[in-house]
Amino acid sequence: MRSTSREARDAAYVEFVVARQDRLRRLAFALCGDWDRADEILGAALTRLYVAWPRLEREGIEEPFVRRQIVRADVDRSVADTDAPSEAGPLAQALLALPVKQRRAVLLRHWLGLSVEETAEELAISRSAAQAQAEHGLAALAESLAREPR
Amino acid sequence: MTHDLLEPLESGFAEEPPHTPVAQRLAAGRRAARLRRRIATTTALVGLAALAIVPVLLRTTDGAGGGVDPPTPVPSPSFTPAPTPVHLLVAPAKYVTSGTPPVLYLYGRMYKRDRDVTVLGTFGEIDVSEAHPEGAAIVKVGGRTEWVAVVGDEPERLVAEKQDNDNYQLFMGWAQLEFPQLSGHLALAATAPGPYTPPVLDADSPAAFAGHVLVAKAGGTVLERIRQPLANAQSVPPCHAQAVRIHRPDQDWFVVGFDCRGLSGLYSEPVGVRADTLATWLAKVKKVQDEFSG
Repeated sequence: MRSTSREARDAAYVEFVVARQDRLRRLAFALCGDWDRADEILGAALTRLYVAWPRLEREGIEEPFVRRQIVRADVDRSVADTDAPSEAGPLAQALLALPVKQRRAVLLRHWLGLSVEETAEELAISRSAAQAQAEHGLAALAESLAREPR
Repeated sequence: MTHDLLEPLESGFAEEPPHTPVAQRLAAGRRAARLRRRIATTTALVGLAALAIVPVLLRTTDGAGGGVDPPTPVPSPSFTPAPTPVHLLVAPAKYVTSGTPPVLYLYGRMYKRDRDVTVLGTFGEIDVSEAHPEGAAIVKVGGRTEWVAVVGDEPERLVAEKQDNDNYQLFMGWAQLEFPQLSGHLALAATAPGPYTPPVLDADSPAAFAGHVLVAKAGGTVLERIRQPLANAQSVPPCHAQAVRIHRPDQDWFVVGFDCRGLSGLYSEPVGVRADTLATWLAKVKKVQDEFSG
């Protein structure tokens, strides 16, 4: 439904944030390994969402927009600076050990279930690059987890 | 190795901290939307001012003394002494609206709005794949020649446009003035609190930028410095943001500000008004910035 006033826009925005913030913040955390940074990344994405809300709501692409902002955020700094990977489970820790491009591709392709084409579009890379990043990332992830003591 | 990461990944999120209150998210969004509207209004005025300043700046390069220093040259990967046609891809239709300028950025790459746009020359970054790119183009649309300066990706972009001729040198001078103006608006939004009306004029601040370093004016001493404070999605990489605590005999001050190739903006406040340490002050400044809804 298209919002026609600021109140309706705010209500729709709040509804979206409440419904999606868990999953979106987990995506940010899986990318950066730090809850504070994840909250910051999500906050920046949600602010941009509000600014562009009328167009995004009209086109029905609110969640893809926020997701794209998150996966393209600068996460290298977070992983390098944080001691937080211990907050994550073994799989998340193994994910954080991947190069950031592979991490992004693996999460989009195998966690969020996007197609190769969609993953390529989200990351602004070619289809073959998206496929390669996701496959190499997944292989590295499997190898890393196989080394984990059980 | 199963491809289904959902279950094991989500089991690793048991200890999640509470979310930032939704009201705070909403307030930040409203503030950003208001800022965007203000910028859209002032950008037109800035463009008019730049029109008047460009010829003066160009004339000061003959060394007559005094006057305004020319802006620091910007790296220009696509620099050419005269415009040469540039091939840009046409932006996907879903990103184009009636308000889209002739050239636009999508995820760090410059596109043209439609096939009717002919790009005669570009200046600045046309393919950077980074946040907040900034570039300019001379374009021909419907028989008219336009200069377009764009900072930032869609839909957050700021743009300045003017109709002119295809004089590439004048176009570069114009773009060099537009970039820091446009970027500065984004940078100040990332450093100053709320509506960022400074408590004291920049001229009366105990600090000033010298090059890219925020230094104390005569009679003051920098006690503490934080580089690139309050980084958020609106900060602009080419802009140098810093915060300092300055000791003066009569009073200590906190100052946060940005410098975009010679154009700077400051927010200065005496110690004790908001906080007693620089880190606490910056945190409170950011809180006000995030929560501002007036």
